[in-house]
Amino acid sequence: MKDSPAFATDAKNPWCDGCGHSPVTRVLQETLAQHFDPSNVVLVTDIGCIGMADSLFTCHTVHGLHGRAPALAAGIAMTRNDQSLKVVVMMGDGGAAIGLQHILECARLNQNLTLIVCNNQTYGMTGGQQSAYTLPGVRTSTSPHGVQETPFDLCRLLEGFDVLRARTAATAHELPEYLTQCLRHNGFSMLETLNYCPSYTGKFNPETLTPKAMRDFFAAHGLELGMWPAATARPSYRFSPTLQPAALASIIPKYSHGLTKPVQILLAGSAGGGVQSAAEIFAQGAILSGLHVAFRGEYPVTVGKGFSTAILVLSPEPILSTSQEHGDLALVVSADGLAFTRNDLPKHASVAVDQSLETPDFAATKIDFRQFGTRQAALAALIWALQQYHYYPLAAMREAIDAVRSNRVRESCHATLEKLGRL
Amino acid sequence: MTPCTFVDGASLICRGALHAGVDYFVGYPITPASGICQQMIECGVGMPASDEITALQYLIGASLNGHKAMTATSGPGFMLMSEGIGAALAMEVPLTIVLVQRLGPATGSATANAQGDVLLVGNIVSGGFIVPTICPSTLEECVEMTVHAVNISQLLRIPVVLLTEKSMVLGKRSVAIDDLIYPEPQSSSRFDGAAERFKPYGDLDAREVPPFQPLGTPRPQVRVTASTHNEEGLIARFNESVRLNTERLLVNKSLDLFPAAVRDLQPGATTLVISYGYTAYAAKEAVRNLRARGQAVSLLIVRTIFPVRVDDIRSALAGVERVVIAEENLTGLYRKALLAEDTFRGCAVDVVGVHVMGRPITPEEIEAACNGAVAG
Repeated sequence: MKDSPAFATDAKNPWCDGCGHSPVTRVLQETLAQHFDPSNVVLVTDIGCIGMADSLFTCHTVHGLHGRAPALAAGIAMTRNDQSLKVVVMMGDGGAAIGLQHILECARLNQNLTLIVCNNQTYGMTGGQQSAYTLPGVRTSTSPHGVQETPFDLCRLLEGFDVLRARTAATAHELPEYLTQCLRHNGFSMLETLNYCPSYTGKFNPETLTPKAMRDFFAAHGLELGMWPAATARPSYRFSPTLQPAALASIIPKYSHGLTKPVQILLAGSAGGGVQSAAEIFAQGAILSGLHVAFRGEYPVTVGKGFSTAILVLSPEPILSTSQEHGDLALVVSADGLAFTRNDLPKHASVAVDQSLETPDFAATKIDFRQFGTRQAALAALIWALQQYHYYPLAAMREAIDAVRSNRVRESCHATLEKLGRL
Repeated sequence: MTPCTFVDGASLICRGALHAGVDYFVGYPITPASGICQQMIECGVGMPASDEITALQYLIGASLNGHKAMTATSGPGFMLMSEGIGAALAMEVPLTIVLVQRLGPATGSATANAQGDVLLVGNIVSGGFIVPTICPSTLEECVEMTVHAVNISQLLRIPVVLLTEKSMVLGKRSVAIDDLIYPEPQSSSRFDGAAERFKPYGDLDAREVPPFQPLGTPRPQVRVTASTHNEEGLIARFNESVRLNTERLLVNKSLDLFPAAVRDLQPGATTLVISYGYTAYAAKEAVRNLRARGQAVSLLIVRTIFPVRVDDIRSALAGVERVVIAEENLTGLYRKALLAEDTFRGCAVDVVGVHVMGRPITPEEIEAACNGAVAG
């Protein structure tokens, strides 16, 4: 461990004799030393035996949660303002199963980091259990008769992402070259090193998992060794904040209102029927008239179908609770709105419904709100309410409509206001 | 006339976050928190993640680079984030999580107002460690409490939850722009000593917080780990040094940083109403109505949910015989938290809960509880 002083500490190698983690770590230290300064490298280690690597390195180290190291490393890599920091991840085959989605995400976004998966065919730290990468036939403490299932092949899983992939044995003479290529790659690179755990899989499988036999065993199971470069120079993902805070729209009250106490209005219609935007315009008009307003909308999560309701409270004094069950006015402009609010409507002092709706069980004023079109009926109902109850002047409503961004919607709203004014 | 704006809590939380210096937001959409994610992305400081587990890991990585990091979620997403929140606490990585609560259990109801995640937040980290939890009780406070949450996360190097509800985040109200309070942004202190002296978890300040050193600055070496560790940031077996290094993660020593409760105490009142979050509106109205009828009643709006500021609450109990705690959940979750903290020990008070699930609490229900009705 003292071969590469720039990256190697004096700490004692924690791994068992014969463990593949040792040669991989040594070659990583040597290769890093050839190309980087320790202050420009961060090593992110996963949980498991490989997670004991931190103390062996002089660079920055981050030790996180099982399987999450690639995601944490991606957070580091993508939020650097410069390219100077090299991010390296070491994880085992257990972590590579838990965090498989994170690995795929790193590849999808081409995160600028190097992932080294030290595949020793087992969870070594917890007693030699089978991992999702353990090959068929391998005996582990949880597969005493040999694994039956098809394992993940990480190099193949990453094949479609156009990233640098490599796989070799932990003790292979190609390892320095592969590591060099991965560490110098701009974008996501993944190197899988194959070995076995001398304390578990090695003991459980003395015929196949030995220094001499393991290469043939891996080859017999179709684990191709080699390096597959990215075909294109795809840019790596980078998060660059470009702060564009939105200003708060200032409304300066300039009209007078006609309220001496709060009123609560329920507006009910159909999703897509302009209920929420009509309520918003109505609220802006109220604020322009010096009123306090509270507004809450309700609609199904699918937003495009079914009911849409808005509860508006207008008050000359600051508003506290909006939970009163008894409203002052209910306006219903569609069958969806009626179906959703039917039980609440009798709790309102006044109810006005579109003339197309039947309300045999309670008294309601019938108005032809829908003559203004299905998307204008909600606004028409609120304008009608202003004409009936004089909460605030129509001029304030007109000014609120002026602030509507969409030309088409604004013109439609003005047309509804003018038409109702003439009726 | 005073300039007003018509705004929802999501917009105000985003304003608070940007004022506090949040420059990295990661979100996975979840009702009713999605609006915060969308606005932060529109403001140029946000990005989506493929899931909440990933989002938390991205935040930790970004925070280690020195970014002020934030996310927003609801109960189910918060549960997915739990291991990352615990890791951030152990690593001493500052970040802010806006939690727009749900009813529970599990996915609950996405579209109902609720305060069902209170005890989930209080126990999200194992070992009895507390994630500071700040709660705005008016729309206006969404700015101020967001800044406090980010500031506390920075000063204590800890994940902080901003606890909210659907009605607070999605409901709109007219707000006087001058009523919005923007506290001074705070940042973690940086290490400025000689590189060879640096210990990632050493050199503690008066609050027992180590100075922060972003990754990748030329020396000193930064080591961070979520496992129990020594001052050097290396995993260590449990010993006296590790115990001290772990115990100081309890934030009870820094209560002065946490927003105090809003106190509206009345001389001679024998009833005290306690509430928080959006339910505080109904509590205020109930107290106003009771006083209009000639009854003396006091009100305490709690803005630091965790750690429980026991001193803050106990100092409002003089002469009080009945405490009414109003909240929108099934079994009175914060009442349980206050009782678990021995908040009322030695005080001869009846502690009564007013709690409902799936609909707003009415002022009348709180008034009835103040007048002796057994509610909940």
